[in-house]
Amino acid sequence: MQLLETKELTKKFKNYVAVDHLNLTINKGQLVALLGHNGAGKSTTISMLIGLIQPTSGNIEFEGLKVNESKYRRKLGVVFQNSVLDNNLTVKQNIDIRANMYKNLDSSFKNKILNDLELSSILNQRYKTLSGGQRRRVDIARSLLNKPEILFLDEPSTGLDIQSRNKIWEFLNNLRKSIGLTIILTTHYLEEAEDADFVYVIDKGKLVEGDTVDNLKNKYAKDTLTLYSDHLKNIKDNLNQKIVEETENSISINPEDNNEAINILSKFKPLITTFEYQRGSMDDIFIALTGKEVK
Amino acid sequence: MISLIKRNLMLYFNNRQRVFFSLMGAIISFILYVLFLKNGIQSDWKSIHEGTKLLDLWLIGGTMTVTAITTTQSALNQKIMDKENNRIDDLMLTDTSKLGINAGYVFSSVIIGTIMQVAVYIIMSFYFLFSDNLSINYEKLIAIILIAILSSFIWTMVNMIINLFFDNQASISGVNSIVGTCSGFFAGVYMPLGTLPNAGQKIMEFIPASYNSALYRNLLMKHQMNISFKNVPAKFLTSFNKNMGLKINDVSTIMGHTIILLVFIVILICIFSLISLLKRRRA
Repeated sequence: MQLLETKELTKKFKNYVAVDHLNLTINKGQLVALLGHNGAGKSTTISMLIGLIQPTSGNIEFEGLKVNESKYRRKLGVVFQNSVLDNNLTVKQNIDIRANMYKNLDSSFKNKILNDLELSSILNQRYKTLSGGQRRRVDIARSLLNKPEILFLDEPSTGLDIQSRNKIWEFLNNLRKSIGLTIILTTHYLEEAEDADFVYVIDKGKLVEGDTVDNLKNKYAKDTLTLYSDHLKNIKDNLNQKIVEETENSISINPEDNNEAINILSKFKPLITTFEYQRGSMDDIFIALTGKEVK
Repeated sequence: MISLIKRNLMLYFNNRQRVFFSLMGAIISFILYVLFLKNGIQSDWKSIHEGTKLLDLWLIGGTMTVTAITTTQSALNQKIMDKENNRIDDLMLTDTSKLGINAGYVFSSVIIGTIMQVAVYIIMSFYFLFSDNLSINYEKLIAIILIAILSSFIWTMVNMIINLFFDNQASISGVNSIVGTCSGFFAGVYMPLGTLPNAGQKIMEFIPASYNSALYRNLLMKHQMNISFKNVPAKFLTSFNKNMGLKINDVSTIMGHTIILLVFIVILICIFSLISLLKRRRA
């Protein structure tokens, strides 16, 4: 079921187009990743979706609500790129102040998220004394206070260790199951996007590609088979494949699929000393779509 | 809104350095007076009965105006800090409206300004109780609190207007130090109004600071003036009031100064609305 849609969404800053006629569709319960370079227009898109900046042109539709309506805001949760809580207040003070700024808040849900994010033991600690991972968990707790239908995560894992990242994703995935939370994620960690149901790749404010991770991999990320052998010449003579990389004792090829890889391996079994098989990754997709150069 | 006010108060009062520096203007005028200015003015007042006490009350009145200016300024800086750190974006996502959030900042500033003025009054009264045997008049405390609220409102509005032109802490801290330095002059703490050149005196007739000090001074000094000037001709009294800034633009009553300050509030609100409207149109 469709939850949020943007039509020809555009934002211009003087002579610079940050977001260029962007069409996105986000379905209920999905985890959708927005991928792009620094400055590709991801954060500007998020700012428009949460109503902080007005689009120059284009529409945002969310179950018939307008972005600047309070009913719309009520359905949103946002984890900002930089922390927005007060350093000199405790976790509890921060959470309570924000909670009291909402009307008719479900306090049992608040307690549940504080519990699930394992924040009970640090409630009376000042925010500035927390570790990066702890802060992020508090930020996420704050963003979920109003039990949103849609959660925006603007680069949530930047600078976090793997344990914190796993903990956060475990918690968020549970919420997706239990309350059907929809998540829109912008990230630099491409492996984080691997878990997304749908990926939009944005470059220079334009939508370059939007598809499921599997489809993107089929289209843009080729699997690589590397064969190590002492009889490379023999293999090369009998191989009907384009060699993509070659060293003294190995050759790499891009087989069409797993079956073809297995066939090649069976055919040359006596000649190979060992082999590697690497599935195409988000990195390959990203580079295929947005180029290798630094922007 | 109440929650936001609570937050702003906690952030201000939890930060001792911030409280101290927001009182810097008041501390400077107090120290300058005690160390340097008191003797100078006092020697001119030798003929006045209990002149020192009268002078102490005069200083308290001016210093409280300075306190109102600088503490509301520091309180309102919270909004600039919140803007700069995108905290205001997060606050906007809640059910509290934009108007409610702005009102939250205004009321926190008024509350902080009021508390700090009353605190300054109490501290200074105790100092002069010990140094000059000045008796503390508790009956006036309610009137003082009311004036403190009024002056906090005025200076909150003035600072809101100033803040419309600045959006980062670096520039506003520069503005703060300029306003902090000037506040002592405008409030008439460093020198009596009558000693200023004509142009200076004219300027003072058009700014709220001098009326604010006059209001405080009329209230605080009234009792002591009755004692000190018991047998003094009315003509002398009029020139004293004018010279010491108790009478500005022919207004010399508590009610008169209060009305003028209320008119200032209306004018300031109009200026604020006009500028924010123009800014929004341009954006």
